[in-house]
Amino acid sequence: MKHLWLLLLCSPAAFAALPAIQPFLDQNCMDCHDAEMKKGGLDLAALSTDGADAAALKKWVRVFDRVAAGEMPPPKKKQQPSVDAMQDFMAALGGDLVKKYNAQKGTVLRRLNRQEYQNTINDLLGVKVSVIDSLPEDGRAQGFDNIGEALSISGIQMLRYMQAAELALNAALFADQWPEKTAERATLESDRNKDNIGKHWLKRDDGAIVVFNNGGFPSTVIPNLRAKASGTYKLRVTGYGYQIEEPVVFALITGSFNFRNADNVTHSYHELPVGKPGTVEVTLHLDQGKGIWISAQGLNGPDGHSPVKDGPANYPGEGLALMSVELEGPFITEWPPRGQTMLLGDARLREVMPDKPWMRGKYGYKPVFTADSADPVGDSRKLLPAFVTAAFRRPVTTTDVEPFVKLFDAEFAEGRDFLVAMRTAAIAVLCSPEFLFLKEPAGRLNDHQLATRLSYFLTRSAPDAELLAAKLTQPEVLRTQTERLLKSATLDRFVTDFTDGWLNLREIEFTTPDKQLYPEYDGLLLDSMLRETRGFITELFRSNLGVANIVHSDFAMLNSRMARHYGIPGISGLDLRKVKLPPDSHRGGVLTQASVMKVSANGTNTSPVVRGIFVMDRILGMEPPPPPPGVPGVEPDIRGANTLRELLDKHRDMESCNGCHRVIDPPGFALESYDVIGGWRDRFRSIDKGDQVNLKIEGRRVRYRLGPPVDAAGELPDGAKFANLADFQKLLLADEDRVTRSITEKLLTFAAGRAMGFSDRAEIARLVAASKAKGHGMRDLIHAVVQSEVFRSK
Amino acid sequence: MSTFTFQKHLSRRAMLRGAGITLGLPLLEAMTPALAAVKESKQAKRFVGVSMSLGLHNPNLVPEGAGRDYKPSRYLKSIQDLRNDFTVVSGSSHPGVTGGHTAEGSIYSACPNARGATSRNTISLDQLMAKQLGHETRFPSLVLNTNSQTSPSYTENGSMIPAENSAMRLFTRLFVNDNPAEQKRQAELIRSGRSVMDIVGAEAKSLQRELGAGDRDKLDAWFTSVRDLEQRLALNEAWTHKPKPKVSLQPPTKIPRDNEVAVDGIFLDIIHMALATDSTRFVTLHITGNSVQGIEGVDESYHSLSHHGMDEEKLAQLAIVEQGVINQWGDFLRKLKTDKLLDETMVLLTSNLGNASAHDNKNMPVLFAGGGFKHGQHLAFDQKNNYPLPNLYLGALQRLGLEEDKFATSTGTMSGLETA
Repeated sequence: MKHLWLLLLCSPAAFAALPAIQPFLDQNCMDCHDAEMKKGGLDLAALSTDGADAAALKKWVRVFDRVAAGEMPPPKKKQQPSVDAMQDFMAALGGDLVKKYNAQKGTVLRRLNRQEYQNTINDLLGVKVSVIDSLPEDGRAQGFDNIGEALSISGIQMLRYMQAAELALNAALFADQWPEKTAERATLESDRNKDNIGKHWLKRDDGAIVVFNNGGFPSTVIPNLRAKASGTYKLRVTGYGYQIEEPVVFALITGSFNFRNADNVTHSYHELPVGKPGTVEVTLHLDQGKGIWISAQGLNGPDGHSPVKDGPANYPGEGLALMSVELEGPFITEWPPRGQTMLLGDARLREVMPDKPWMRGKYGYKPVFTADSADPVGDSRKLLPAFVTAAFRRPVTTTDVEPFVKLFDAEFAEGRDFLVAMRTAAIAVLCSPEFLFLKEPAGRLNDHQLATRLSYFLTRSAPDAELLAAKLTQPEVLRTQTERLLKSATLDRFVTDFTDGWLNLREIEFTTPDKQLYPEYDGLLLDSMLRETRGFITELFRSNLGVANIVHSDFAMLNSRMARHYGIPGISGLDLRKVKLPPDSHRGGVLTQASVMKVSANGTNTSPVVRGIFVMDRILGMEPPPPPPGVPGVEPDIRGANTLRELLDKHRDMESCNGCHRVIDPPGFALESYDVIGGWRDRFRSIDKGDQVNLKIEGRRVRYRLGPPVDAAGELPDGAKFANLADFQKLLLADEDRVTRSITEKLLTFAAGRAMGFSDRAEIARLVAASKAKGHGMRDLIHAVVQSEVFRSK
Repeated sequence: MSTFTFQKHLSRRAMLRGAGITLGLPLLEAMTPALAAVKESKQAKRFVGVSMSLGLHNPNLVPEGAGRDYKPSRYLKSIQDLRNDFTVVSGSSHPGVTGGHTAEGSIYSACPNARGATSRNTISLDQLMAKQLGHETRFPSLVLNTNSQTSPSYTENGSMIPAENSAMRLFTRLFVNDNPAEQKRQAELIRSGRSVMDIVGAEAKSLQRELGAGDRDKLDAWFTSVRDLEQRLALNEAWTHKPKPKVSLQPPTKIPRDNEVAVDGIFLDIIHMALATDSTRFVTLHITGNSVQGIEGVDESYHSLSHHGMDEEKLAQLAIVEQGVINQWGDFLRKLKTDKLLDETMVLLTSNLGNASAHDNKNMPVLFAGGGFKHGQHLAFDQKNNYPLPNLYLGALQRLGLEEDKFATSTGTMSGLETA
């Protein structure tokens, strides 16, 4: 590695293969791509041949690909080079590109991203702090936020790491005795609510309080119910739907519920039966002091009525009858928390009484602790090496531990107690580059480095003891451990983080659908669509289903909300389940899923170009080149006269645009049948023009109109025509290898933390061929990725 | 260059009057001679950048006619009393910057991006200023956001600086003294932090021996970061024991979450106080909140309005919101003017989006005020072939007395923008 680098630095910045390919370029390319013509913005004479110029290298790869695909020189207009000349050209250029990419491949020293950091620190210390929001957002490349090259560091970030480490350590050192488990029961009845009952809400004879408002006022935060200590709780909500036909839905929201902390988090959605009481039980983590808000969703009432006007007893609208909310916990399985034992050993925490003892009872009082050790210095020598080992994910030497021992000694000598001195040393360990970076020297990874890489790939956290002890350099052991991790509960973390990057799901809330155009959109739909896609991908991995399912599947993972959205009858309940799709459902495969349709649209309109790029890049693994400079975007018009496709057609008539757009746009055309929230459409919705719609959603007449019809037909660059998405899916499936290649590349990128380059093509092709032999199973693909040369080397 | 009109070293009383400060305060750094070796000719010493993540509707913003006789556009009518205090620039943008919303990172860095490629951002204008001149105040810079923690402020390593997004917390950090226990905790954190930095700096040195050349960049960035934090902690150590300035401005108690324009105003009020008390000199405020339904006449979300798709009703509502932001910006200028701070404070209002509905990064909206420039004009550049906006940034740097001759893709200083 080092030698190559030096070579690169010393050698003149010349394109080694240039003499060999120059005649070919002169004869076939320079007519259009010289300094004067610069067709498509490409001037081959000026294109840098310096291996360190990433952008130029990328353009050369594109030159290679377009010639290889037979797209250049343009077959209809230019004389074609001979087969031999083509092959010589590709061998010379390809060989040189492999050399150049090889010289710089290798995962660049990768920092834990903030999700990995949080998982790691929580798993290490046995706590559950949330520090993601206090750490700076991570840079991204290739859509993923765990790519070494893009993960930067700054002084502020160092400061935030210090604060996060302090927070996590304090969470492990928060109490000197096992927090007592309690079970508390509460209702909406309280002093604060006494004016609301009888005015906004109805108290029934069975004791239930019926609320008619969705969230908002009056607040349905459960009074006097707070988590006494941080930990896992069981929450039981009992109630029923009142004057409503379908089960009544509520959002379970946790938070501090005071104006100082805007920390509300929607935990999940649930439903209660109609007429007779039912109980929903939820297991969740709550931080000390956090409360519960049961927020009814989608309650409607007839126009002209309100509980206040009619009186709650006479109000005819829908309601949620809440009988009781029980909170039991915390359920603590490990005491003291791992982190406390690691830092203090046999020494126990002891609360230091404040000067004014009455302060202890006050709200918000934070107790101060000390720890008594009979032999502080001796203890530090026992405890620190173990802590450093756990944090560094490898066996450590005395040299590794020495600086932290010295820090402890200095602190202790300056009069800080055992606890404070240990904590400062621990903060230093958690700010060490050995903890914050995945250390991977050049070449093949050793057992520990592989353990770390595998663990961050599939569990998004540090390796456990079994993984660290495994001889992972042996392929069979590597396979067994991979299988173990794929079966563990942490698979959810992998699926969430992988799909966040691959399908850009992390941006799903970036736009809010226009209320007038999409009145059916609600929080439950958003929550359900994310769960659908994650559940679907999980199912592919879990059951080793074929890659083709990404393009088209005969099943979907649905709950009642998604089923309603997709017009699929007979599904009740909010739990996700595998549903066999009826033949005319227009669903099946990632491309038809609402989450993907939403994230590739904005809140008001869809663009075939944006969706085309989405499909090209994320499903087919082809990165379309950016538009040449100076081309303005097409201004969307949702007034209903023109569709964006019609506006784009003008654009496409221009030869210079058409070169790329005939490739980019067709997948977007095929998806025109899906609106901005993934609903099926035959006609575009519009605000001004078009036909009125006689339809009520959530009790209100819709205000949108129906504009021009959807045209989902198109033609691929090779001339293959499709009439709709179903046709298009068939065309995609004709080349299953291509989709497999794309998914393999995405998995490798996420797993290794680096972008795949030209020189990885051979290895990827090998994996795809092996996958084909095994029927393209998704679980097999994970194994193939883990066993690959790319994964097992820096 | 003209003569220096405002006293370089403020008299204490003048400052107290100007800023509406009620009580005496200990000497601030601004009242002692500046430490930095900056040329005497400098005229400006502060920079405030206000950026809008959703653009400004150009047809309502760009005036008819160029030069000093331009006809105020719809949006600019309300700030005509300030006509001679600002310049409106049209037809300019950052060369090579594309990507719609993702170009937010380039608002102040002007760093050209290549889609799909691993591209690293470069230092933003405010941070370059703060790096060279920020050590004189309690806060080298303030990086603020009305809603989220994202910011267009980047370090030289290309790291985004997370923004402060709570007006209450910002007020507390600036103007509320910590109680003795908290002060002690802070001092303790700084003290142990410095020891921690000593160690992790040394750790990386041993790592350097084990890792290859490809990782050298990352380790270099690590060393820079450690050094940066060490310096910051050392400076903070001195400040922990100094009382914070007292101001007459009431701390914000309730943030109107459904009115982004009002939130913007709350932040600008605090920024005004931060400048008046010389707590900082370099500020960015990124406006990103999506909730505007609390504004009269508006019933849709901001982002949804920005994707107006030419719909008249949406455009009308969007105009209400955008006019609100311009008016807040105007109010802010008026306060600086009253305090005689405007001449030495450069204030920018811009966005990465020239056309939010089409996600276009060309034709960025630009209003530039103060700083002792000759304003009162419309610099109308070519809407089709944009003029490089980094030229304005270079001018701003030079105005602070910094001897820079290039910023990002600048080709010089902005033609037509002269010092008064």
